[in-house]
Amino acid sequence: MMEYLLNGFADAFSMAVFPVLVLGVLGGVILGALPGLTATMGVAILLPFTFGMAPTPALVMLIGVYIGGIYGGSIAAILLKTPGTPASAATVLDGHTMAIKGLAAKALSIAAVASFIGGLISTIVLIAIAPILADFALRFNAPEYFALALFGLTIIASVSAKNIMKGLLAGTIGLLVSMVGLDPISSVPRFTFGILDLYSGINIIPVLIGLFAISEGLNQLEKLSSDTQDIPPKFDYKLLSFSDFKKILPTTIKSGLIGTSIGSVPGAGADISAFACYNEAKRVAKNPEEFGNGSMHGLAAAESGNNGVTGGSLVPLLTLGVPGDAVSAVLLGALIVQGLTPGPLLFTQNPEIVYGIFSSMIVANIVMLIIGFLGIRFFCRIIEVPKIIMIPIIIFLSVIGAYAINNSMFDVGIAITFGLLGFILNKLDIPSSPILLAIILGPMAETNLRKSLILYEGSWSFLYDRPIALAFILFAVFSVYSTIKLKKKERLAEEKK
Amino acid sequence: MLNRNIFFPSLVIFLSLVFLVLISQFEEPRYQDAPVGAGFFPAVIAIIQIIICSVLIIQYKKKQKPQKEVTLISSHSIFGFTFLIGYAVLITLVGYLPASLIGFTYYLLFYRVKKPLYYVTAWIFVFAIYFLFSEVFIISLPEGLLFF
Repeated sequence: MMEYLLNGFADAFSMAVFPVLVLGVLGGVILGALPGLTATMGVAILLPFTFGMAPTPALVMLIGVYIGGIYGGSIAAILLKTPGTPASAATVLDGHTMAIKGLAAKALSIAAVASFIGGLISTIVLIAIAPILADFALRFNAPEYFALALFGLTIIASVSAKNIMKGLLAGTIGLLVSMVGLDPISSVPRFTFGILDLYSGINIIPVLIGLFAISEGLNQLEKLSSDTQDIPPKFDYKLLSFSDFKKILPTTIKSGLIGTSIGSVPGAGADISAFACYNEAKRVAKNPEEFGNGSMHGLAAAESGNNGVTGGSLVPLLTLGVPGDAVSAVLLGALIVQGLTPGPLLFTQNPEIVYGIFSSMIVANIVMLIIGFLGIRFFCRIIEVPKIIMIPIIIFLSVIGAYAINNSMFDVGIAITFGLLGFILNKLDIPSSPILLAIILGPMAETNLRKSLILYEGSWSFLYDRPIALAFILFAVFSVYSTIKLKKKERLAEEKK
Repeated sequence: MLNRNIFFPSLVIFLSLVFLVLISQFEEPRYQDAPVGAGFFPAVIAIIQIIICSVLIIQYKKKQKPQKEVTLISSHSIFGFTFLIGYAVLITLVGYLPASLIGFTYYLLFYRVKKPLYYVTAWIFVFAIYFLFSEVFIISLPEGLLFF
C-alpha cells in the first residue's frame, strides 16, 4: 500500500497532474463562493473537459474541484451571509457573526484550517479503513435511514436560537415544502396545483439562495440610509493564533471524524454533516451560549464536518460502486468514462489509480489551505465594498445563481418567494436554517419511514428491533433532551442577569 | 393594529387547515400496498404545525410584556421587493445583460448615487458575470422573450 501511496504522491507532483490539481482546487473555490454554484455543479461542468484526459489527472482535477468547492462555499457564507453551497449553511451561524464583529480574517482562516483538517482526516480514514466503513454503510436499510434522518431533524431544536417552538415551526414549514411534488412511493401529486414545474418538487438551491442571500439583501437594503454615505467597516487582518488553533483542534478533529462517518453513508451529504457536527460541538461545549454569536468552535465544527465528507463519500463509491452523495455520483460517471469500474475490483485491478486519487486528495487539501490563506486579504476586501454596491450584487448573483441550476425562471421565482419568506420570518424571530434542514431531511425521513412500514407489513417494530436504527433514535432522544436542558439553563441564566 | 405574534401563527393555523382539506383530496393510487398513503406525512406535519402555533399564541399571551413594535415592512424593503420582482420580470423580457444594466443603473439612480466609479463598477460587474457564465462555465443566461 505504501509503495502505491508514494507513487501516488510522485504522480500528484508531476507536471501532468499538479497544474490541473491546482486549477481544479482554485476553480472549485471560485465556484463554491458563488451562490447557486455548488461543488456538484462544478464537478458536473468540468466532467466533459476530462473526456480526453488520462484517468489520474482527470479524476484528480474533479476531486480538486470537489474539495475546493466545499471550502469555497464558506467564503460567501462568512462574508456575505450567503452560503455558496448548501454545505456551508451551518457556517453562516457563527462565521458571519464573526465577520460582523470585525473578525472576518480570523473566521476565514479558521474555515481554511478546519476544512483542511476535516479533509485530511477524511482522506486518512478513507485510506485506512475504507473497506470497514463500507461494510458498515452496507448494513443501512430503510429503517436505519429513517432513524438517521430523524436524528438529523432533532438538530432543528439546537439551531433554533432562543425559542425552540419557533425553530420547530420553521422546521414544519420546511417539511411541508419538501413534500411538494410527486409522492416518492405512490407518485400521487401533492400540493402541485396543476403546475408542471412543481411535479418534480422544489429544488433546494433556489430555496437556499432565497432564504439566505435574497432575504439578507432585503435586510441590508432596509438598513441602508437614503443619503448613501457608506462608511466601510473597520476590521483587523488578524488570523487564527496558535492558542486559538489549540482550542479548536479537538472540535475540528472530532467533527472531521463525524463528517467522514456521515459521508460514508450513502445519501447523507456535506450539508447534513455540517449541521450534525455543529450540533454535537454545541452539545459538548463549555459555553454553548456562544454558539450562534461568533463561536470559533461552531465555525470549526461546521467547516471540518462538511469537508470531512469529501473522503467519506468516496468510501462507498470506490469500494462498492455506490455514490455517497451527488458529487460522488458525478465522479462515478467520470470513473466509468475513463473505463474504470468502481467497486472492490478497482483496488486490485487499478491500485495505482486508487492510491493516486488518495495521494492527490492529501495534496489537494494542502493546496486548498494555501489558496485559502493566500486569498484571505483578497476575500476580506469584499466586506469593504460599500453596501450600496454590494446589495444589488448579492441580489443579481442570487437571481443568476437560481436561474443557472436548471436554466429556469421558475427557480428564480422560487428563490424570490423564499427570499420574501426569509425576510418576514427574520422579522418574527423565526430562524431560517431549520427550513433548509427540514427540506434536506424531510424526503429522506418520509420515504424511508414508508419503505420501512412496507418492509415490516405495517408494523412499527423496526424502530426498536434494528440495533443501528435504535441507536440513532436514542441519539435523537438524547439530542432533544440535552437541547431542552441547555435552553432551560440559558433561560435561567438570562433571568438571573 | 394586528399583532404579528398573534397574526402569523393564526395565519399558519389557517393555512394548515387548508392543507388538511387539500390532503384529504389527494388522488388515491390505483394500487396501494403501503400501510400509510401519500397524505400521511403531510397530515401529521400540518397537525403538528397547528399545535406549535397554538402553543406560540399561548406563550405570547402568557408572557405578554409591553414591547416596542418594529415596523414589519419599511419603505426601503418595499423598494427591495418591487426591485427584485421588477428585475425578474425584466430579465424574462429582455434577457440578462440589458435587464442587469438597466436594473443596476436604476437602483443607483434611485439612491441618488453621484460617484461615477460606482456606476462603472456596476457595469463591469454585470459584464464580468456575463462573461464568466456564458464563456467560462458555458451556462446560458436568460436571453429574454423579446429577442427570440
